[in-house]
Amino acid sequence: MPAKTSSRRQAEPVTPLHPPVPLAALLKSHPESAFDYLEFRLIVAGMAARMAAERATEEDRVHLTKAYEAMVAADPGIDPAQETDGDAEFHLTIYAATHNVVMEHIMRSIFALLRRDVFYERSRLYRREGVREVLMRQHKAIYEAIMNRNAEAARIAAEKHIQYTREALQESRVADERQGVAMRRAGRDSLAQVTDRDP
Amino acid sequence: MAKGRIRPAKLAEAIANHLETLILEGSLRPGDRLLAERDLAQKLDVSRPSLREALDLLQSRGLLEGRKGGTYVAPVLGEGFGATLVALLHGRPQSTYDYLEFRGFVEGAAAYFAALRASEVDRELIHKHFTAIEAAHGKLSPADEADADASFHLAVYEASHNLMMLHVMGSLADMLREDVFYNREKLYARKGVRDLLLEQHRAVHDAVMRGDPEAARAAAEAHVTFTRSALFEIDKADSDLETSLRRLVATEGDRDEGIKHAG
Repeated sequence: MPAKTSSRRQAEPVTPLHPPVPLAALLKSHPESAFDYLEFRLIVAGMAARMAAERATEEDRVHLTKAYEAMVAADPGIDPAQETDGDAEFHLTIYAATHNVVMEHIMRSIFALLRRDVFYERSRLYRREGVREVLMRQHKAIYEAIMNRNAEAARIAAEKHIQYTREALQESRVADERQGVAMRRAGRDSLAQVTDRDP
Repeated sequence: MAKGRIRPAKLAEAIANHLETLILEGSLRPGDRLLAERDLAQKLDVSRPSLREALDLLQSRGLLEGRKGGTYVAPVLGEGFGATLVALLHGRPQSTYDYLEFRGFVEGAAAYFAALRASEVDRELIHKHFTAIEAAHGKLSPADEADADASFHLAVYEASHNLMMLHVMGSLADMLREDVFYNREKLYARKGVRDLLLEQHRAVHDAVMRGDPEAARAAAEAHVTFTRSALFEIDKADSDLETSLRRLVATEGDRDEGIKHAG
């Protein structure tokens, strides 16, 4: 019985305002689906960055600058959520600047799942050595390409960003597994009497 | 693994996980009605109380919904996803072109991955749906062909073996079937359009079947781009007609006004 209660608690994200989104529950129990998400995102992100560079109005550019600066200014030491939220907001501002309301709606819906930490442990990814700096450099490249109205550069920068995220996530997952193996090895005397063959 | 605790999985939990996986991979689709409890229990070879518990569990996670005496697979992207999109299109009919712009790009990627990844079973299914399109092509009413069309595209999304693609594009395909984005019959009724659509579906089909990703992408993108311009032309013709009708009504109205004043 206790096992069931705890797994139930995990399956339901803390979002009293929204009804549960089935896909969120599904993806949470299938961590490998994060890579399907990132593949899908790779398709859409490049196109969106290109469209935003071509179509952003003055108003969009002001919003994008505001979102970019808020993300850069976020201090993960104070509140790690502030940084990942700032990241999401930056990308959503790009989708809004495409002036394709259907795409914006779809990506907003998907990001809503992401904000509930469904796909991957975003703040943990940020904390990995060196990852934060790379992501921020990539955000800067996307931001500048859109502001310079350089559609091709914006597309390339956005695709690079997702590709890197994919690799970083893979590394992070593998590292977690290695950590688990190492910990079990270190604790082997808790399950068996250790017989060292060393003389 | 990390916790190192071993507990036998509860049967209800195991059933729920099984059904959950079927929903995630698209073997059970939103709107599908599950078999009656007794039959389903028999099919899965589990006890009814365990099955009932599993179904309750899935209902509480929002994956199933009970209505009209049956248990149905819930819309995977949540109730809000479709409703918001419908409201959006109502308020701004030109969003249909946004939909097609988005879809053109993603459809190309889906066909690309399908050509790359389709298994034998996927290929058979894609071929089956294309054959259905061909068979319905000769019929006077385009309804069957339009339905086979939607099933064909869904089979391509499935063959892309990307779950995100399947659920997002699948949700949109369901809405397409309900004519949320545009009136499909009107599109098909347009002279020449129906024949061209068949040839475009054939091009996508052929490229996926022979495993040519680039050709599949190009064919799928061309198909959606064509749909977009065809709809644009139809809209334009409609609005020209509407303008003429409005003019006609306006002159009629003036005459009425004149009569009233005279009286």
